[in-house]
Amino acid sequence: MMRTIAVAIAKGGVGKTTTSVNLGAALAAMGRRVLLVDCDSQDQVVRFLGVRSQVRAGLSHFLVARTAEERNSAVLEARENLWVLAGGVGLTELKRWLGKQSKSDTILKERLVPREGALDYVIYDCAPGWDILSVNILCAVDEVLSPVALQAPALQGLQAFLTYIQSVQKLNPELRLRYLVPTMFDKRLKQSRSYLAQLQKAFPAQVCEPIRSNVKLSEAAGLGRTIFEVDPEASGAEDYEALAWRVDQDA
Amino acid sequence: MPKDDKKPPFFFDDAGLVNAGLGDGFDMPDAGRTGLDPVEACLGPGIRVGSSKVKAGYYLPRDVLERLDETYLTLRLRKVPVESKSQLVEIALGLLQADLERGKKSMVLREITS
Repeated sequence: MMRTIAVAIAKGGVGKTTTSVNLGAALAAMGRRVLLVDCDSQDQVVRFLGVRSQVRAGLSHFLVARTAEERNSAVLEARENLWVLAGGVGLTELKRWLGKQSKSDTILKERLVPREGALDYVIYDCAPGWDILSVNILCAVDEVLSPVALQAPALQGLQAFLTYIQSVQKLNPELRLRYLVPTMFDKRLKQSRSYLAQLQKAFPAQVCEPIRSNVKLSEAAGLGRTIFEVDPEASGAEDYEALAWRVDQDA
Repeated sequence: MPKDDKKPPFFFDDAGLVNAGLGDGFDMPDAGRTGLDPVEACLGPGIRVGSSKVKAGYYLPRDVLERLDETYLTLRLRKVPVESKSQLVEIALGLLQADLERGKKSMVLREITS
């Protein structure tokens, strides 16, 4: 059964796109068929994966497509088993349009419906902040995976984001905060260890093994490659592979 | 890395597709156009600082809004050169004010006071 996961938290700079791309790549390498949906106007997923963007491709084009052929053409192949619906500035206009619709909260849920058995995972890489597209995404998914940088502002951001999830649960009762992924973990820092302990105490079922700070992760993004392609021995590769196994085991 | 000559995947069929040509996607933005201006993307085409028109927000029942959509689409289908739903609302408000000027004979006044 296909799973729909939003990689989301309102706080920016915590590793949402890094997590979406490397989790998606790890699941794809395990043989799962994964569609990454970039919901950010920064359009970074295609850059992180080194995919050449195309004019009539991406989420905004997909949502306004008139035919199934147009929709499928909006999907870019990134790797074996890994496809992307790109983001981009068109999403800004799309949000304005969404705001004018009568059923504005469920348009994504109603329109992004893959064929039975076509995909194993649809992973939404959410933008920071909170807007009508965020609500649409959380209405379209069953699970939320929130990366949380082990720093005070990110933990405060998590508290605020939990209230957003509770609010959306009125519209989508199936929605669950399934995974909290501590990122930028540096075991040498007392603060890092302390915040991780706090998270583990507050959310024992949701907290995953932390993603360690690893410069190779940002290097890989800059090169348009996944961490597994740049340095499969790096701690970042090890951590994201472990995360993918955990997520996949819950299927 | 992907090859350029590959066919698109077949992930999606017609489920959840906007009705071709009509339906609620009638006034959707053209997501495929290039050179989209970031300010226009946020504010809407032609709606800029200094514009003579401003976006107004009022609470209206959903069915009223749906009727407005329907009226707009019906007029477009009949090839009536209506520019936008905003134009319809503007005309309706003009008619309302003209009606109110009729004093006791005003239908609007009668509706409000009944």
